[in-house]
Amino acid sequence: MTPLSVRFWGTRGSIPAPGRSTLKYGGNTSCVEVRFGDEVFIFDSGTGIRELGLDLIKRADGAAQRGHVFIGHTHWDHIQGFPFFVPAYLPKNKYTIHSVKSIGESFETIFRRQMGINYFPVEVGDMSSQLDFNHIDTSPFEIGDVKVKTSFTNHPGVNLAYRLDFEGSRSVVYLTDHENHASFSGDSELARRQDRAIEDFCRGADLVIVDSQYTEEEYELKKGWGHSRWKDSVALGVAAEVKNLALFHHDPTRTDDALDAISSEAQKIATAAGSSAKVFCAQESKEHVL
Amino acid sequence: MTSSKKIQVLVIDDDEAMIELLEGCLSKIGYEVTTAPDGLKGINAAEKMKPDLVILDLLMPGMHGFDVCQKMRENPNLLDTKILISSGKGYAVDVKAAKLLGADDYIVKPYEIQILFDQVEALVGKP
Ligand SMILES: [Zn+2]
Ligand SMILES: [Zn+2]
Repeated sequence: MTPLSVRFWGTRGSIPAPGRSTLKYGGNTSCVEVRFGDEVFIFDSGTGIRELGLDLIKRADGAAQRGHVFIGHTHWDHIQGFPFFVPAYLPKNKYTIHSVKSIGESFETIFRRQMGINYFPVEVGDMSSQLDFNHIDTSPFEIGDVKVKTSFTNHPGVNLAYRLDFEGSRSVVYLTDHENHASFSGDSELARRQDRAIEDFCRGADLVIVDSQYTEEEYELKKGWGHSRWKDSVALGVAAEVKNLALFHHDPTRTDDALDAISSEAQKIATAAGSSAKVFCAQESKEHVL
Repeated sequence: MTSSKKIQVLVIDDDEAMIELLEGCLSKIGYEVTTAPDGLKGINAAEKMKPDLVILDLLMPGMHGFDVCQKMRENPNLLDTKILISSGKGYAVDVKAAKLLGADDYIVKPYEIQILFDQVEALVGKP
């Protein structure tokens, strides 16, 4: 069976949080690499994509690289690393960037604008690799043998969650920048159906990478900001019977000690609920073989 | 003078229970209701029937409701059609975005049916 692995290059939400208190879980914003044999799939291009780029160059050892980048949405923490993604500057490389139309403008327009002349000295068009933009909605599609499914999430503006299904019924879900429906709009039949749809999207996945930005106390103040309490995300992972649950999009204020504590409490909660899932806080540069 | 033509409402929503509820309630008080389960079918239906009002969900399979709203606003045949966004997503940004894309009003689900009636009436009048 083709080897499948996932590596976290940036686990933070909102803004990079480098410093002594975040050395273990990392300070880079959202970027996750999924490797399937020689194929590379990248979720989001937060600041973590810079180091991923350097690693890809080292691994390629001069050979041409191809890859797919799936962007959830164009909030800064999900695109701000792209100007520093060195493989995109090398002529023989080819990347396809997939995302959805945002508010009134195409994804490509918005994505290019962050490298507009007043924001950055190099424009997207000056990057020498072949960059193809693929505008998608939530209709499923395939890349070779890999099935790609998407779903809109509950987040201000337009944001996509991704599910990749690989041979051997292995699957990875990237669900960040999502606020639990019932927590946000109050418990109702409708909110429960919407949460169930998200649960179905994650159902049985080998790994679900899930927005877990807030603690309960923080959520009191930040309800309606488009992110979930980590306990809601643990409940989702348990209900969806996932095999591994990576709590992700850590708040920039969250220290390593706090994340250690959340990891062990989250695992206890899942186990007590009868789940056999492995639950942990996503850690920068850590690789998980599926 | 009496007119026999009813006010036409098109509901675009992927939630079957929501569709059933709106279809039942609105037709009971005299509106003529058509429904579509996703954005693409919704746009096709709107082009055909030129409804007085579209009640439009945001998070649906396929196209996002914002995209549907924008496409309808770009269609010169639908200039007289009012658009009411009906979504569980009540973020301030989304309300702002809806206005920017040409929607006439916004209602956050779940809601009391009377509030919907009031907003519908304000947009297209009594049935
Ligand atoms: Zn984010
Ligand atoms: Zn965001």
